[in-house]
Parts: sequence; structure tokens; C-alpha cells
Amino acid sequence: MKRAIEISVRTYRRLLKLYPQRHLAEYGEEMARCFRDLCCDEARRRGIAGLVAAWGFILRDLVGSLIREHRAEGRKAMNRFGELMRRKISDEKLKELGAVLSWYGAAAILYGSVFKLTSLPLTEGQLVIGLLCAAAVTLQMTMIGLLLRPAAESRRVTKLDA
Amino acid sequence: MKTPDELLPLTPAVFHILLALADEARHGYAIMSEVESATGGQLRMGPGTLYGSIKRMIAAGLIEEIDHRPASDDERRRYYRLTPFGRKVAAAESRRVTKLASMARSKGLTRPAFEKG
Repeated sequence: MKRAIEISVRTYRRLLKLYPQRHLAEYGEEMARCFRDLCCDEARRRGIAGLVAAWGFILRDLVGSLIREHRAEGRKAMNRFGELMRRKISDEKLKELGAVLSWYGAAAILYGSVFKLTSLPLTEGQLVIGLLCAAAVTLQMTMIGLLLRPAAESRRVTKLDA
Repeated sequence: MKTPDELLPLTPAVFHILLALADEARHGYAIMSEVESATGGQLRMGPGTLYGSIKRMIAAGLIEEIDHRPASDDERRRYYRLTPFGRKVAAAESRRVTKLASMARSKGLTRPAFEKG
């Protein structure tokens, strides 16, 4: 009977490998110990019939819990992926991207306005002045962006330290 | 932190694990045996169900693992006990079940089957 129990426990340990890795690492040993106790009790009470009955019960439990654990692990993996994506595209980066896009948007509107003016009876001198103004504003926006960037970087460092 | 009522109703497995741990700390197989004997064999939990529930109950703060084990026992076994929050949740679930039972009683549903006309 002792040999039958040993074989049962060895087989159950192999089946435990079907559980998600983390669950197995955390509770695999305890589950195998629990199974051994159950087999010993059943074998003591009803002999080999008890051992067979224990296997019937354990297999039902195994299938149900495997489905539950893999589903839970799948949900966790999806959450982790979402969190990773959220962290990769951090709020700071989104703000920076938004700022850059809005600056270029503003510059595009400015240039558009200047070129629109060409349909008006402007002299070449006035057009050149208009284009220079637009270029100056774009340069100014880029400068402001470069000046703000170190502040954003330092905020990120402070967050990581915390 | 959730309130006890937010976790209700509990699944039978979780409620019975809480009840098994209400009077003393136990290891996994002792919880399984206690639940089986307390329910007269109606609820049997295998190691898969038990440790899945234990994992989720620890995450929810209902139970915790303890470091000290009885000297007589195998020191590799892991013992679990109720947390104060787990005790509150068990009490809240008990009140809920009692209320349900009294509702069923008031509608005459708890009389033995042979009395039914």
C-alpha cells in the first residue's frame, strides 16, 4: 500500500506541473503534502478502494482548479500588459507629445495664415516679413519646449526616487 | 480597504475555510478535514480548490500565514489563521445567512419534508 501511495504522490506531483508557474512555486509543495495526507487517510480507512476513490475526487478537483487558476493567471497577465503599456507611454511622455504636436499645429496654422495672405495684394517685402515672423514664432516655441524639458526630466527622476 | 459587506456573499468554500479557522490556526489538510467533517461530507475540497481559495483569501486580507507552528507538527507545513478583517467578514456572512434562514422559516420552508401537506 505504501508503494501505491508513493506512486500516487509522484503522479500527482507531475500533474501539478500543469498549474501556472507562480501558483506551483507558491503552493505546489503544500498541495502535494495535502494529497499525501489524503491518500494515507483513505488507504487506512478503506484500503485500495479508498485510494481509487481519492483519485476520482482529486481528478475532478484538479480539472476545476486548473481552469480557475489559468483563467485568473490570464486575467493577471492582461492586467500586467495593460500596466506595462501605460507605464511605457507615461503621462509625462503624453504631455510632451501633446505639447510638441500643439506647437507644430500652431506653427502650421501660422504658416498657413501667412501663405493665405499671398492671395491678398501684398508686396514681396510684406510677405518676407510675414514669413520671418512665423519662423521667429516657431523658433521661440521650440526654445520654450527645450527649456521646459529639463523640468519634466527632473520631475520624473524625483518620482522614481520616491 | 474594502468593507466586510462588499465581499458578500462569500462562496461556500471561502465561508467554510473562514469557519474552520475561526477557533484556531490550521494547516491545509486540517482545513480540508475540518470542512468535510463540519458539513458531514457535503462539501469536500481538494488541494486545488483549497489552495486556490487560500491564495485569493490572503490577497483579500481575510487570512494570513503564521510563522510559529506547534512543536509536535511537521515544521514544513504552513499554518493559516483569520485576520481581524477576516473575522469581521465571517461575522457579516453569518448574519446574512441567519437573515436568509429566518426569511425561509417565516415562509414555512424549514419544516421537515414529511410535514408538508
